[in-house]
Amino acid sequence: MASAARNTLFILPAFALHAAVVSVPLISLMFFSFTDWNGLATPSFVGFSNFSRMLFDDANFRRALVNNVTYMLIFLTIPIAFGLLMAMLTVRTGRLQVVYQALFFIPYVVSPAIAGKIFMMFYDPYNGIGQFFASIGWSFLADIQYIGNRSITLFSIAFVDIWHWWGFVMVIFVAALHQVDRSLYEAAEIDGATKLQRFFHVTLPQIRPTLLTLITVTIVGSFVTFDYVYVMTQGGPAGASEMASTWIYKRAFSSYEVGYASAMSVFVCGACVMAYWLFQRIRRNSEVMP
Amino acid sequence: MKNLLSRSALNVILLGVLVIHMVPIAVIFFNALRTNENVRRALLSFPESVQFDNFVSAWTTGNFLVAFINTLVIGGGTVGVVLVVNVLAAYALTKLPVLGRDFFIGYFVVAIAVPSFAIVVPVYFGLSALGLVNSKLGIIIVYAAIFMPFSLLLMRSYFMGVPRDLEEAALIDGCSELGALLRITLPLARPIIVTVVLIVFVHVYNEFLFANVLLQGDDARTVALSFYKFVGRFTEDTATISASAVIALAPMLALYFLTQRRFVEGMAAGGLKG
Repeated sequence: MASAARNTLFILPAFALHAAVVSVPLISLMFFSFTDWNGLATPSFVGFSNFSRMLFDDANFRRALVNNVTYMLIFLTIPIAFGLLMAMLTVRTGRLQVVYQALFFIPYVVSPAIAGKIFMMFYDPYNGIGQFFASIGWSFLADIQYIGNRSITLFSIAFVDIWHWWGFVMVIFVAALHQVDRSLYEAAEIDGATKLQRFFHVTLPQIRPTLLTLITVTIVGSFVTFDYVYVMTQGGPAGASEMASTWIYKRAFSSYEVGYASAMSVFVCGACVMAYWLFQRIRRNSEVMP
Repeated sequence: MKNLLSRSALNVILLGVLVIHMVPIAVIFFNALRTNENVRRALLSFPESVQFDNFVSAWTTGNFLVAFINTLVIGGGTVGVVLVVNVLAAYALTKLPVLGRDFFIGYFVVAIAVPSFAIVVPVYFGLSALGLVNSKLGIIIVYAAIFMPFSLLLMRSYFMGVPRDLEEAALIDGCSELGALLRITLPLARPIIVTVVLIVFVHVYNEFLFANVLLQGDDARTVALSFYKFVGRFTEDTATISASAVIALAPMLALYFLTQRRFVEGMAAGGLKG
């Protein structure tokens, strides 16, 4: 027993580091969420007023949450469907599949700070991709205001994130597809299953754990997505692409409403942990089922 | 024959997607070699002529030398801290009787689920109270803590595959547990160590949120952040911006093509930390 206690010393550096940088700030976040604080003066206790302001009086935060949900719906569908489709196509190319995967994966290596700015060149209303479309005579695509038109700003940003993300999703699906037992397809073929039936009754159930993992990552990731939005628009124009994260960031670091920013962080973080927990349960239950 | 035909059709489709997919990266490589007048006349074009002036002005005005040194120091420091704390922890969690073992494993599993955005506000104000904003040490500690949990679990599952018999043989020969770890386990675990070094470094190189909040001065910035700030100052000079994007991107692309398989596998493990 004494040695078991001594062996704990091996874990202590890792634990202390993580607790000091993550857990202690998380606890302090909860404390500050009940205060009015500008980051410098002594925080004053204000009860639940930050939370009631967030839920009932802050149209920007509400709009940000709607944008987060939109973003989540985009990422639950497009990259997952496209990544799976491309995975199923590349695995049929035999030896070339390694080359395709390596090349499709490249944007995942690019920092969001760089990718976001590259695409801002394309979205430029005067010297961007519109100019190119005009020069080849596709005038219907020439005048789109990718960032300036507030109803499509969010989709223009999501496009960049999808460009960065789908190759990764594809690689994950390829790994899952390689795990599927070939004899299941043969059995389905003997039973006269069509290609579509094979997909829904063999492929999908077999890659279900991978799918659930990707769904979990997408849901949690969508509520804390920050980089692309901040790099490209900082939430603008006029709040059109505001996310919970960019709004929190601005409250904390531009107007120094740290107490209020903390309350919103607690809310978002709580939502993430609940989503994570929920999907872990679903995944575990689905593994128990035959 | 039918199979052959459908396979070439498949390759045509995939090549088409690939070409479109690569346009943004190809364009910055091309535009880095063109004059700014030409770039602003037509964003998408092969280079009319090749000149390297853009690289010269990007390198001299972008402060990239300092940024590369900073990135190496911060990346190296982070990798070092992560390795030391994780090797010790992973060894204890797989090989030794430990008081509170289940608690620690549960703690690090939950830790993976905590989105790092949640802590950016308290971490900034905490570090600023300690005078560690704009400091390499400050951001190394933060990066090490947030990139540690998933690499710990990676190392733990790898260490499980190293037979305990080998370490016990070393113990009988008079090694301490620490000696057995350093002489037996660590050399056998080299592949996972290399993977962890790679993914932690890549995460540091590409990280934006904490770098942007914690590294505000010109002299502390990492490469990705320097590029970001550079673009903010030279919005009209698309050619030079492209050159600086190439400068910031090229090392990561080189690292990717050199380490390929391991890179993809490591990033897959790191990216699915949910």
